[in-house]
Amino acid sequence: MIGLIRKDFYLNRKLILAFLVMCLAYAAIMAFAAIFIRTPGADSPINIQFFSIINTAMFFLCTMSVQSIMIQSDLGKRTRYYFCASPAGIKGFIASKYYESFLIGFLVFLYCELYDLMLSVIDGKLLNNSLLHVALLFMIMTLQSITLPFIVGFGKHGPHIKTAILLILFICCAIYGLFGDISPFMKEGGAISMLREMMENTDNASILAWILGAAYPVLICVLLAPHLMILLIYVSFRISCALFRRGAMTYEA
Amino acid sequence: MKLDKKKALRSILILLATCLVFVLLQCYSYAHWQENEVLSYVTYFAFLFSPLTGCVLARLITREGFRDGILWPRFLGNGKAYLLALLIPTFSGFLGAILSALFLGDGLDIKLDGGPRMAILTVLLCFAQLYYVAFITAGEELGWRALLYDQLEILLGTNGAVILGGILWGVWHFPALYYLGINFGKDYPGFPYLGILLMCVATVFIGAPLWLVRKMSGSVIPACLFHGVIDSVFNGFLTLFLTQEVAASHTLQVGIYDFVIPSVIVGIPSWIYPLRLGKRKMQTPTAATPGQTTNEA
Repeated sequence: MIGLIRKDFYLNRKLILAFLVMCLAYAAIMAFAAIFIRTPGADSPINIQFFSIINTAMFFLCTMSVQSIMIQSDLGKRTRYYFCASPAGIKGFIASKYYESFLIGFLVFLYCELYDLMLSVIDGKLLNNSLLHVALLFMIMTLQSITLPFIVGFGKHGPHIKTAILLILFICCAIYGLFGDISPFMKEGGAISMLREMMENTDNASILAWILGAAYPVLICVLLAPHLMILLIYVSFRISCALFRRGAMTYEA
Repeated sequence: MKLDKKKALRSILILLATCLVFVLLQCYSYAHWQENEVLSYVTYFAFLFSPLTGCVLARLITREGFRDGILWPRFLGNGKAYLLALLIPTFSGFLGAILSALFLGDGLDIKLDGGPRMAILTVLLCFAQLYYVAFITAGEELGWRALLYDQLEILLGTNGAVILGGILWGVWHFPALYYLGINFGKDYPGFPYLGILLMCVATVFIGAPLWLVRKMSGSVIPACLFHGVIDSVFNGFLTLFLTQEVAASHTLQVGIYDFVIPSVIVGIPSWIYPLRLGKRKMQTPTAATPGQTTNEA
């Protein structure tokens, strides 16, 4: 299975190299900005927390694109038939896609941790957003686990079908938002204020304080979320395995 | 075989030398750098990941590499190992909390302010942070279970690996035991020697199931999860049955009831099981020469 992952990394080496260069260049520019904007001896005029959040959001979004491209590589009809007969089998082949997706996410998680450390060293104040990074890693894995069965089941049309479904959901939400009753979401302690609060406080201590201060049902949902995500990834894996052969038919040779 | 032993010894020495450097650095950091939060944070994580650093260095220097796929999760077909990795420490943590509550005379009723509602939340919180903690414990597991125990087994056999590996792992906790008073506190007779001794006893026995799940799966990931559960669940369960005052005033006893005794209880069967399995495996036809018949087939 390690060979399968190596193969996908090799096939997408240019993309990965470009992504790596982008990460390093971004970190270098931000380090440069943070050092030169900072006034020595005075309180730091830069908000390193803001720098960190922008970096985290940007790179986790980019990671999703890289993951999607990676997992779609080498999924043609002949390849699929070949892997049905290979020692790794269908399960091994599908598992390798999940593993490589996790691997890229994990590397970006490490990058974000190192980036935060760099900002901490520059500013002299400790920046600890690791809980947020782990949460985002889980989230992107969840999103990929939704995408993968679509790709496996519907071939190259998979991402379009997923986008179409998401678009329909978005339109439904937008229509409800425009014409429905949104007062429960907007009130104090509602979903919107909770989201705003979460986005404003992203360090570990604030996240923990927010979790512990949330209402009981919300708290139960938050605490069960990591396990449900694991379950979702497993269900997604089983669906992908079941759809593998059928998906091969939707590809051109 | 002789070459293997030489290589194993080299790997162990590299790992231990690396760990020693970071242990000393961490001691220095606890003593002098606590005001500088960035520096103390960096040295703390460098210390936590020192076994991993040692493992990487040892595997690079001895040219062993990572071809054994120790980092590979191997989920498929290893459900039993993963299940044990979650169940053994959970049982152990729960047992420790019950023993502490019984022996320290506080009874088995829930001591948390919110009652059962809060107890459910505490247990859920413990398990929710498991994945995050497992990331951190990977730093230790990749050194101890992915290298030290395996190499010690080549040199000293299974029993020697569990005993010496556990002792070395326990001694590695010295900076945290001495400066922070983890597990046993600081206010007890014989500090810090008794604490180190108890820690070594606990790590010898808890190392056995950790190594068991690592060997069962051929991957270090179940061991990381196991260690993650230990670190996240043990204290959480304790708060269910023990008030803060009792826990703070009996740190040594709490450490013994909550950590040492449960470790011994789950450690013994996990230690015996691979030994018996090993003997049975040695009796299988591998030793049979061509032409010789065996009963098993």
